[in-house]
Amino acid sequence: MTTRVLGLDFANPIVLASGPAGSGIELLEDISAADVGAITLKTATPDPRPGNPQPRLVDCPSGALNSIGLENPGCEAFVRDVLPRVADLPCRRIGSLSSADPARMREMVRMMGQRSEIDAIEVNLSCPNAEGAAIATDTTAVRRVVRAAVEGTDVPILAKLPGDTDAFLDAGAASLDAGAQGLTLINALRGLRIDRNAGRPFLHREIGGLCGPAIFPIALARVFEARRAFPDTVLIGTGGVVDVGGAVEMLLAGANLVGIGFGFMVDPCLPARIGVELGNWMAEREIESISEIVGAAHRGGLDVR
Amino acid sequence: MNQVAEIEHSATQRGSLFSWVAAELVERTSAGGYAKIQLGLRDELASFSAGQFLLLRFKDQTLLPRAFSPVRSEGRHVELLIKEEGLVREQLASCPPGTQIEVRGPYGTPLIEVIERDRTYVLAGGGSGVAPLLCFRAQHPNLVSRTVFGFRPAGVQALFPDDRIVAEERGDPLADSVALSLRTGADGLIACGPEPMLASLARALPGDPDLYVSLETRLGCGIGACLGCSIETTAGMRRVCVDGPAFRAVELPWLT
Repeated sequence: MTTRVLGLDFANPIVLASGPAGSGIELLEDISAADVGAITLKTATPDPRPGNPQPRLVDCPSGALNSIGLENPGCEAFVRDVLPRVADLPCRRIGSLSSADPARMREMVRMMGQRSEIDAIEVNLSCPNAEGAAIATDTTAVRRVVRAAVEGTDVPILAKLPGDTDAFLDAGAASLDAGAQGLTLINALRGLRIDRNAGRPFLHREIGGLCGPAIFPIALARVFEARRAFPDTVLIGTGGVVDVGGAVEMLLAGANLVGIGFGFMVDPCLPARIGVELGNWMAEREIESISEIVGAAHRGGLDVR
Repeated sequence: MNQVAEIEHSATQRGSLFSWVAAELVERTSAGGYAKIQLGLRDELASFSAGQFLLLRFKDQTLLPRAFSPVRSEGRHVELLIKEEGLVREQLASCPPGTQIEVRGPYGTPLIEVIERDRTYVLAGGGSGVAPLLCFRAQHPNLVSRTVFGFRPAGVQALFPDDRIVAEERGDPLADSVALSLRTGADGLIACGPEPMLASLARALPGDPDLYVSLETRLGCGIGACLGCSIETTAGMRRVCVDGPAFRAVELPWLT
């Protein structure tokens, strides 16, 4: 089931999405990292960030609102202290960086991109939970930041896009124009829950990022539209996948790799299990290569080979 | 054995903390808006120490799992104390015996590893925060001088025939003054319950190094990865699910 994406071999197309699995990574050896294709690490920023005050999580029907707020020790400490811990994980490692300042993005990418632990870097243009982090609606800013990232390293750059703006295709086009080799979509959608007894929003930062199965059809539509708009671009489809069926749909819509975030929070063994089940699903249908599935929904379906 | 079963089997063999273990609701006793719940597990969990917690979900439910600090977790038997409100807890309070549930854990730092062991403690519990304290008392009776448990609704006493219950219909559910009055000079105080109760005790004992509080912060993954439960401490950001749930109150300046 090995799949070649971005010039790299991935053991399978399942990726632990940035965020839920991105810290405490020493645990991952115990949850079959060999059965996922890659992990995208937690987003690092130029300076350390404490993240948002509690509460940071609240339930939603079929999902959750999160409001972590890019808690991280800063890129320098992240590269120094965290990267050595992922060196032995038997899967690809994708870094994740966020800054609206092109110069600081370039600086971070230089720091991270030269490390052997890192196979690719995702530029997070769309975190809904940190002031100034969601720049994807400004295509000029997107172009500058992504170009700075591309200039700072030889490893492939991916741009992580939001799902809750129709301008995501413009942001995608701007990212690719600036040299990105792929797009990750979608980030969590802006959402709100209010404690009806207290009469106040549940989350300290009020609006949070909706994740989980609730956003799956939206993520799938964005991936589908992005594949149609950018036929030859690498896409990581992320958003609400919690079973092998969802992963298959993401591939059919056009994703080359499938990210799992919320599903990991509920069940840390889920991504590895989906990786194995995907292999079984393909074997049952005598599908030999992931590439036969990727984008098949745009080509008249799986039967058209 | 197919590959999926093999992964789950090998995880169990390794004593993995990350796999869900099938369980069923065996028995439930309700009183005063609270319930004691007995769960029977298909497999044994790793050894459990008071103050740690388990995550629980109804099978195949796509919600974040819920954290419960059991009254007891031995072998294949788990006893919970829950308040009968909220989505999952209401389901637990109403589902029939035999209902399929899943459990993983235990997670978190045992209370005994957080506190000083050279003194005794008054245990102050509010609501379902009583559960880990009952477990602590059973595991470390020689470290406990007194206990005081508070509940907002009356009628809970039926669940605790042998314990002193301060049930109040109005006002602060835990008579903090009771907890404080029980404390002698040598005692520390371990409190578990709603944040307003912990804050009230922290304000009453400013700077006291022997006041420990166990937090009920909403958890995500439960294993220290997602940072959903990170809190500010005097030693920087800490994860309630791994570094806690119990902390010295003086480490949490925001509590007061």
